Amino acid sequence: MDTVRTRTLPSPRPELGSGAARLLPALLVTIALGCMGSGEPRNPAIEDGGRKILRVARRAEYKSLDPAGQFDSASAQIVGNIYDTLLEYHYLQRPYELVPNLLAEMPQLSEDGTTYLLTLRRGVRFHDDPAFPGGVGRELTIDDVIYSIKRFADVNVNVKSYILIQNVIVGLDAFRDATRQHGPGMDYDAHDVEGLQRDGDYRLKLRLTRENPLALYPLAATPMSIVAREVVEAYGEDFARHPVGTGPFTMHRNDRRGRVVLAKYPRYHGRYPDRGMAGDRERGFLEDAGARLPLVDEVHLPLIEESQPAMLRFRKGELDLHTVDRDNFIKMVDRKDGEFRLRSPYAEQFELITAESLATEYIAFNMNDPLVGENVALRQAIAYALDVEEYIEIMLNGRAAPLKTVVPLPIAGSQRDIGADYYEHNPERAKQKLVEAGFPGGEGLPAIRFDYRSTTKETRQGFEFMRYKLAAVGIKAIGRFHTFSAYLQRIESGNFQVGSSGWYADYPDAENFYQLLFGKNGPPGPNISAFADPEYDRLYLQSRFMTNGPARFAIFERMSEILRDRVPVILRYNSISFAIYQKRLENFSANMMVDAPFKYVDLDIRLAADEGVESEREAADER
Amino acid sequence: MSAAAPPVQQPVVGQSLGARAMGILRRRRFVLLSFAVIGIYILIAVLGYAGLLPDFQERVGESYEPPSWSFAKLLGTDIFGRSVLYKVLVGTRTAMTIGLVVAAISIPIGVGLGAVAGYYGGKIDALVVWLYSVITSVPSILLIIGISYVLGKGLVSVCLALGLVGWVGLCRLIRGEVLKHKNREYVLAARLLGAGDGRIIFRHILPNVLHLPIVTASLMILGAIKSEVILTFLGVGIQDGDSWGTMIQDATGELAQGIWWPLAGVTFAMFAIIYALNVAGDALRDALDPKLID
Repeated sequence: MDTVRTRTLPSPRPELGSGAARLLPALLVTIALGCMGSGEPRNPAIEDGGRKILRVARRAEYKSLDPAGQFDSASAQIVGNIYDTLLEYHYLQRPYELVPNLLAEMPQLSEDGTTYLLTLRRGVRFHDDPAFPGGVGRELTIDDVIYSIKRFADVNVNVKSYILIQNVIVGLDAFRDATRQHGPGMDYDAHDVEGLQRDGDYRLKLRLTRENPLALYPLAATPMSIVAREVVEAYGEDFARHPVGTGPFTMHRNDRRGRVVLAKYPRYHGRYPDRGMAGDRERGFLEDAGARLPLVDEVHLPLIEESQPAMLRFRKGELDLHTVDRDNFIKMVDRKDGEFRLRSPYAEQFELITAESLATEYIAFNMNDPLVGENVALRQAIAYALDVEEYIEIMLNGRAAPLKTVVPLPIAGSQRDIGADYYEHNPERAKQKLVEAGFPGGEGLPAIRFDYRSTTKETRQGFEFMRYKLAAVGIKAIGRFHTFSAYLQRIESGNFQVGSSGWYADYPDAENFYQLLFGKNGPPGPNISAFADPEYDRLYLQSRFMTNGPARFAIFERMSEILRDRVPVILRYNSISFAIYQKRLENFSANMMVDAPFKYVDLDIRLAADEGVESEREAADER
Repeated sequence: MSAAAPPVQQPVVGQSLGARAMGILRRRRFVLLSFAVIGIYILIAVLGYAGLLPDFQERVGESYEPPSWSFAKLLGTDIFGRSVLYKVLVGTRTAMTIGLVVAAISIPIGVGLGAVAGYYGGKIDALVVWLYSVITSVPSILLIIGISYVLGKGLVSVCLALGLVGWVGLCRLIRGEVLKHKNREYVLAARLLGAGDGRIIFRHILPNVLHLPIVTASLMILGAIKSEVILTFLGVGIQDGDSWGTMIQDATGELAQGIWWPLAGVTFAMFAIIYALNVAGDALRDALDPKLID
């Protein structure tokens, strides 16, 4: 999975937003300019008949509702609630932990470590749909799983996310090649995949190309959701607009430009987790332990692309949750001693939730560049000259934590688990290093070019901040700002000096971050620095498939030292995401691996009162 | 009734167009003020190129200090504690550069093509008309964005983009005027005397239509300044943080936090130069257009 990369993840993030945007990838960010409307928040959670209705804004049109055909957060928000994956992330447990979803138990690993035995949960039924005989959803079988994995590998269906599982399952890459040669409509039954061995109606042996504890993560990714063959075949092209799965909700109303309505699937198999972290019980997260999911009756997802109207509607109580961006943050949130609190009067109305994102922000040097690539002292000088702490303070208003290793804080093996020290702002050391680099006082040093992956004002201001810090020690900088695709082109062709980069976890394992500097992942792979260090590569391969523990962490520590001493990248920060939600919303835990946790949340009917006006609003949505 | 003495014949002294214009302009104080404003802006730009403006990247105070009575903080400070006044001054240099360079690119093109097309007519005319019709048929902002993507971002490409798009209006005007003039008696006379095409166009016709480029220039500078701000605001213009456009872009988030001074400073700077150019443009037309001579 070493080639998995952020570029395939939902829409390119500007630097600032990279973390914030994923907290509730679907529920996104706001830029509110003027003053927000005031007025008593009213509670539209309940409509006639006492149905519980969760309301969340969609911030972009979904691309496709075909699980294998999508890989963006707007689509995943819906796909993840209509379809199920074999495994899923535990809603409350941290660090993130995989638990069975469509499987009856966690896959069992064979003695030699290369075969997983998957046992399917019995009695799971697809949603009712005319595509099934009699219109009644049939039971899920292992054939659906095999079909879905093959379909996921079909190059004519899935162009975006196959890298999740490339080179993982025996014979699946060859199958993908076969679909490429055959073109659309290949008969999957005629092509057996060696690594997918059926064992009765409910069991599957999954053979891996090698020992690989990371192999299970893709089974929890929405593109690998399980679909029913009849439905795919019945709807053909239209399948992308006609989702039928086994998930917690069914598609009730599908208005791509307007309001999407998901309705509770009463026969859903899932139950609310019965364990959590310390404190979860006190916070009321376990009151529904063991309850049948989903807890709400409907989820309404109006499309509100502009952030200000979305925030206004949230504040009027017409949306149940919303993310907080920089401008709203300044307005609504107070920071004292590292604690974030909503200001009055917001604190009386709403709840605030924060979470460290699973993303690393860094600056990458092109190690093939004759100037910065050859001169380690120059790179160190730049590392000393930057002031990440102040950047976080001024540009991010404290909404990030500085990084000392490449791994984001919530992932096992981060700087919380290993000893690490890193460059801190020190202009004197920077000047010293500059002398060592052969450019005392910056004399003779040409301006260094920094390439950025967005053209937003935050990006430009970020550059201005850095330019100032570099100028203070005598280094001149030129900023070049590109669209995300132009940036990628430039980076992949190695035509850059310094690139501002970031990585969002494909799966919550430190390996996903250390691979960013593995020699063989050089451009066009994720190692954009083209960094190659024999010792680092050896340690990486050694640690790659180890389970987390002191032995693995010791290797991480050594790898981090190599990265610190050779500075192929300058690590910057791990951003913190913010969301606010209505007090009536229950069980809302910040889980960065769950795209849209609609099935777990509940609405407190006692806090629901006024109605009526909402129906007008909805009537407006319809129009 | 005594016969009145015959009136004394005053010799009629011909007044040159330029002298007449100067006379008209000089009588209007507000116009002079406008020219003074333009002069100051050009001076600031020149000072900027001479390296005599204060360094706008220097931090003069804390983040977001409101305006106060020290020179650097007259307009307050920005997010990094830099002087908004210095940024406005450096932005002035950028704006004036763009205005003047754009005018310098597009006016010769407009005048040259317009005169040639109007004078020769036929296929040459068709070609020129086709060219500017094509350019005008593309929404100009998109065309400019396209050009700046090809040329890369920055001052040079903004100038080129605006200059290469901006000549169309002037070209059309000049072509029309030249069409009108080329059959006038003075042109026929010149031709009878054996003057060549070049001489007729440049010595005889052009001086009669020269008021058009002069008036257009002042409006073009104004348009270019505004376009630069818009382009930069949209993220395709100057990105070095020393233009009015980037300052306005920065202000979008600041205003919600009650930080009005960066936007106020840059808006005033823009207002003054654009107003001055407008007044100057109108005055120049009044003064220079031969048709308005009574």
